Amino acid sequence: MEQQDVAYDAGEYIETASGNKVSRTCILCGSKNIVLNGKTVVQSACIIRGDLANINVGRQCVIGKRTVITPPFKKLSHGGAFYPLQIGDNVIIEEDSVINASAVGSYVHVGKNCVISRSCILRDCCTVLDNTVLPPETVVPPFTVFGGSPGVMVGELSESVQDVMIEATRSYYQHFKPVKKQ
Amino acid sequence: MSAFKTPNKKHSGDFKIAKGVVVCSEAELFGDITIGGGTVVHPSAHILAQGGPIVIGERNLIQEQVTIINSKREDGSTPTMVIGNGNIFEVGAHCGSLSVGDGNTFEAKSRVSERVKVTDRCSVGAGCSLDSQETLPTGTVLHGRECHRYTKKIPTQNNNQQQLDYLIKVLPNYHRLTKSTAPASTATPNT
Repeated sequence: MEQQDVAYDAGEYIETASGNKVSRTCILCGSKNIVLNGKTVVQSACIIRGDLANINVGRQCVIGKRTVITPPFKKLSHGGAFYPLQIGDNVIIEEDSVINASAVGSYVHVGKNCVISRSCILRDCCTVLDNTVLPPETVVPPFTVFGGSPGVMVGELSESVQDVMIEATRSYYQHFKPVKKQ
Repeated sequence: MSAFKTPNKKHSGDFKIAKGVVVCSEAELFGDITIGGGTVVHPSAHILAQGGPIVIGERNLIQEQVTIINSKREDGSTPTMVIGNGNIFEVGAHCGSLSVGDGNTFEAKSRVSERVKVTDRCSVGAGCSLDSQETLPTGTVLHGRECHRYTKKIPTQNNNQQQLDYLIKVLPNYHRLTKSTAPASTATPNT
């Protein structure tokens, strides 16, 4: 399917030198601990909690509106800690999702209104359908589709996922165009 | 911190916030709110006392995008909303219940309406929505798409003290905090 142009108000987004586009309405806490590796689009009203631990987002990701990305808390015998959260390249996270995973691989698609609970691991090339609730410490293996509440495996993906996701994220970035306000 | 005080549109009303409470200034507070010691309120949480006061106890964890609302009544009554101690409200939870006991967990995107009374040590699962006129007995667990429920045989309490201690230590380094607007003598009703 051809990606349609997504127009945004030029004043609303900040574009960095490496091509990241970040909405001004986002709440980025502890921005010195957040790394966006380039060509990532962070849409309006997202919350990324870099104050609790480092957050590393790969290249050419799309993070939808009102998504919350927080690092997971691990209880330890002497005082707990938040663990850093790594998100791979070419990842699409759609609107209203909550990501509290400990790792998200590359070429991952997370649908709308999902809850990825504490310390989940999403491996490379997997898909989480809309409205899925993954219980804490779930591991989503490569080339699988998870859905439902609680989230279970509902299907498999073909080997072309990597190319499909690269193409999808690239065309999204290309069609994410600024419009000057009159 | 008061040296950096800026007018904040998000805040209006009387807040009685005890000592040692971390309320980030990006959180939205409205109306007559009392918060007890050791509670942490993350940025972009909403605590809205529109239809009457809200009293929040000690050691509660209120995460991002949580809405705790005492909504306006048509008949004009102003009931007080009371939340006990040691509750967790995870990301995106919505709580309108006027009576919440101790040690409850409201998981991400759960929704509890004002007609529900929550007692102690209950758990409302992620995405569950509760809108019927009822009282949740002690130790009730709701989970899954159809909100299946069972009762914990041994009603264990959630244990988030480690997380609260860590947050109380770390959050003031990154956020401006909301301070009590009420006189100091009434600021510590729960301690």
